[in-house]
Amino acid sequence: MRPRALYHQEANAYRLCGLNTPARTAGLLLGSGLADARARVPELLCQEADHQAEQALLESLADWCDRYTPLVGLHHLGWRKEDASLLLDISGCAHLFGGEEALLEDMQQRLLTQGFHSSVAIADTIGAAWALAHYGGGIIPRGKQAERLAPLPMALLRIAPDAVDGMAQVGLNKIGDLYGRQRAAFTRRYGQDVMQRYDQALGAVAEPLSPRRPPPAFVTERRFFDPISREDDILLVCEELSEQLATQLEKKGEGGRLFELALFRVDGAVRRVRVGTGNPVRTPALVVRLFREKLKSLHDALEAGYGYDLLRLQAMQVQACNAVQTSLNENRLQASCAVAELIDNLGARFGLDAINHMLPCDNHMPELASELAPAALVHESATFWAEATLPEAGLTRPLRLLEQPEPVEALAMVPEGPPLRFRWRKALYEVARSEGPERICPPWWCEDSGARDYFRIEDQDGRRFWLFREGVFGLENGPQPRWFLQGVFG
Amino acid sequence: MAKDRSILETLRHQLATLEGRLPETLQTPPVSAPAAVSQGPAPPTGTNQAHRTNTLSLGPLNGFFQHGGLPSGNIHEFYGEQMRQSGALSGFALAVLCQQMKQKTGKVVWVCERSVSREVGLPYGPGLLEFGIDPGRIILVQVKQSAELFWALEEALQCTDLAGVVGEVAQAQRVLSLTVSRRLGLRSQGSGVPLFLLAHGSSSPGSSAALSRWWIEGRAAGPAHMPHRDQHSPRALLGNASWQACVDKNRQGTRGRKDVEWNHAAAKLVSRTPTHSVPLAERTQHRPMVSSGAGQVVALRRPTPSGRDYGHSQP
Repeated sequence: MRPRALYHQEANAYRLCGLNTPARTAGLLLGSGLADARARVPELLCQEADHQAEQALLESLADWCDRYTPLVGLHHLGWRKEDASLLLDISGCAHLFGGEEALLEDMQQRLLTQGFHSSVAIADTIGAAWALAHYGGGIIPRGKQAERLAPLPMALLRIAPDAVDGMAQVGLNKIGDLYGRQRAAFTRRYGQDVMQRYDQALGAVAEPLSPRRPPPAFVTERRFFDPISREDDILLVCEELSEQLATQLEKKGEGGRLFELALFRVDGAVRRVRVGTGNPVRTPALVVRLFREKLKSLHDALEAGYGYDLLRLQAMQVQACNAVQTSLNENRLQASCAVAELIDNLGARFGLDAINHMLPCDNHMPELASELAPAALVHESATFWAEATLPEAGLTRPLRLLEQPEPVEALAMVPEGPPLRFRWRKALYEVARSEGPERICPPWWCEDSGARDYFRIEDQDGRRFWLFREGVFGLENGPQPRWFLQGVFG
Repeated sequence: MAKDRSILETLRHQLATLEGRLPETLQTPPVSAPAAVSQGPAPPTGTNQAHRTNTLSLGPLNGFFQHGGLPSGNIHEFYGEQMRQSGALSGFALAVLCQQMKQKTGKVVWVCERSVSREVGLPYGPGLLEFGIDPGRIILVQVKQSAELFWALEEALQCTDLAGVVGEVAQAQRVLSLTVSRRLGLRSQGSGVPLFLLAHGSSSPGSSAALSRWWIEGRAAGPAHMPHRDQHSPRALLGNASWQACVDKNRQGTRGRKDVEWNHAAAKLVSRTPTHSVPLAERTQHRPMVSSGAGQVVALRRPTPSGRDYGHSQP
């Protein structure tokens, strides 16, 4: 294997930031200049580092690590942006893999088969695990971090390089050198960070882990020796998982509003499928049906490849869902349930935001007088439209409103008359009859649009349109008025 | 033996009714002869009454249907020849939907292809409210393709708690097939929820198993009938929305065409009254027998390929 190196630009100089084993044995060091390295090892293959791609890879690795625990975080140090670690909170998870040693071995083995050399450490605190992971990895038994960290170099305490240099000058090289010394002096000379990191590593101060994804409320999962790939099998497993999930939810008196099915592929890719519901749901059959529709709507299928070896069903959002006493004459309740089910079903296929209710809005501007809101999220009472005041003759608002008012070329009587003929979508319409104007002004804080004069128009063939003129004639410097078509009448 | 035959007849009758091939006169199950003789005309039977309750009254258009109204629980298609007829098409379909919503409580699922809504817009709440339809009862579903649209329609038609289902497509001859239509029809008959299919910009009909097919065209409404205003001034208000509805296919009744208009105050369809029309000919001096007032509207007989007279001329 030839020596390889990655470099990046750092303060107007190209410096090495990644080396493979032959390059290391050839005596190259991280951080040395690219020109020096090329001179020393002429056969060195060099390539500029792509930090974005690295970040994306790390993210996908983090996704993959979800198989061990739902709490996975990325850890960056402020002064070494390109160097990131994965943090996993495995409290209560290790026994599922046969203990911490087995988990560590399993993880290293699986990463190795994917082509990653990893250094994994398990400890009580984030600081201690981080230090050991950067020093070869391993496990620190409960409460032994002070002992195990003592011989490690000071830099592994996650403190800034200038503080490390400063302490090295006075002979403090190892973490153990800090034990039992006066804290105030360190804080005064090297900043607050040193003692805080020290406390965090030894467990005197708690350090929170911020997970990348919101932790689910309820989780069920199933692992396989032989990976599965058929959609039917997946749904079958999904059914089993949702039954388990239902018992968990039922114990707490809750129902799920958002479910996620995470499919872990053998080669490390993770696929997540989500379905939402309008009302809290925990009936297994319903959950499975929603997933079935959702899987059908994914046109690229599941890309199962070599198959999935872990399926996890989790309830991401839950809401109180009390058991309902069914009785014989509760038709109304059942009716609303059936419609809610229909909405969920359609929503699983098209997305819940494609199924909308029309909500009345108190606004003069026609396009803002009604708003679409997802039917699953809207309460029944919000869709209350007040009784219309019937106009004396004819209707004043169109049956359909175009998504955007469309500009038309209109010939109109000046200054404020209705159009006589107009051209819309390349067709000419002769106005036979018109009604108006009805002036609608935008609120004063909207300065970009002028007052509109609306006309109801009937053309010679009986088509009826809603046109408006924006602006007025006769302004010296102002813009010419423009005509728009906004809606059609019945 | 006679009993067996009557059972057989009843079964055959049921099959025929299910398949929709019986004309109305034969819809009532055959009554045994002696009973019919002894009691005179048979009282309306249960099935007949069920039909009566499940029809929509469309005012002047009721005459086209055997049961005196548009049969609910089936597919009805409304066609507009051009995209720009969409206003008239939506207006008439909404008028029919309004009758259905008056008759049955529950929501209406309105499925619309995005290509259609981009072209002709979405139903507008305040407009519907004035038209006589409660927008709060409408659930709008927007889909990307016609295949998704038909899936959504089928799904919705299974829900018996809906008052109705509306689907909107463009160029029906391209997307609508007999298989799809039959599936939808069976679902609709099963649940009793009617499907109103709006076909925008469709110059020729797609093959379908619908019960009725309507071609809708806008009619100039003319000025509003308001006594204290001059009807003939250019400033007169617009009259009621009116359409020419032409029944092109009807599996339970006759075909025909008629001009109707929407009375939004009463929220019902009424036949188009010739009150706004101008007399065709002035009265002459030497014919005192002609009644005074507005002249008569005369529709000319129009020859049709089927030989059927669609006009409603007065003899």
